[in-house]
Amino acid sequence: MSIKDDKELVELTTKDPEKGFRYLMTKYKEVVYWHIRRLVVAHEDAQDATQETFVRVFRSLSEFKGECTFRSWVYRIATNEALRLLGKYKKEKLVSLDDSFSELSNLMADEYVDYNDLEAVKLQKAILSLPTKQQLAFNLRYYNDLGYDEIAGIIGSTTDGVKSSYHIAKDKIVKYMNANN
Amino acid sequence: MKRNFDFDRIGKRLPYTVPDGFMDDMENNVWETVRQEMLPSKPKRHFHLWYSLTGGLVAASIALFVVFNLLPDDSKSNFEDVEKAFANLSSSDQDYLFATYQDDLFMKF
Repeated sequence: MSIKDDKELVELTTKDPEKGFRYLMTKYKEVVYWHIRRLVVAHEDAQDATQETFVRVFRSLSEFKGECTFRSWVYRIATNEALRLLGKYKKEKLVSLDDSFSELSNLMADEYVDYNDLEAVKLQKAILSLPTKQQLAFNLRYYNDLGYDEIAGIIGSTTDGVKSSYHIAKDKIVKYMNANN
Repeated sequence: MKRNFDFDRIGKRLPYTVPDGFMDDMENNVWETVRQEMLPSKPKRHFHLWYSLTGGLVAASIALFVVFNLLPDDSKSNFEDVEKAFANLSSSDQDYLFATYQDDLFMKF
């Protein structure tokens, strides 16, 4: 049996939960993991947030009313999970002055980073130096090829706002990359 | 000479890696979690009901014990008084009472 679209996937999950779940994971686990990983950087954090995303998706499948596409809904949950995790770390940083957590320091400390790929590491550093909204707009457009309107739905912004964030982000990245050449 | 940064040169390449077999392991972890959530939960014991029933039974037992054992048993003396009063009645009144109450369920012993 092949699944043509997400509507069928949702229906299948209701009828045969395990089969539906496997299709859901086959289709989304990698994109969701990498979307989260680009935001939180550390592999273990990305793993936790991805697992939590899919548990939430599966748990609230019956609440999905089709007001947006299923893909946008999944991305929104994933984005919220990643931001929730980052927010938790930032809160901890406020109460502990010794803890100098940041996504950038994560990038330098994580076991699962190929430091030999200097240009790719530098590009991630450039992206991580951006404000969250610009990071999200850039990542979802550049890496996930999503439309501005879909990104707007995911991050709770307007289409024009996302376009603007994306172009500002792109300019800043180019400047960063050229300055640190 | 410095090269200007070109997105096409790097494309979507990421410096990040994952442990071997990570994606499958993660999928199975998530499935295990959601599968556990789908299992029918064990029927909960209604402790509240049990406590109420037990309490009610204990209270009823105490009440019965008090009624039959502790309260002064004056039913016997009451009955003697009634017999005396009945004996003092005229025979016509006694006949009337017999006729009136002989079929009364509550007067039968």
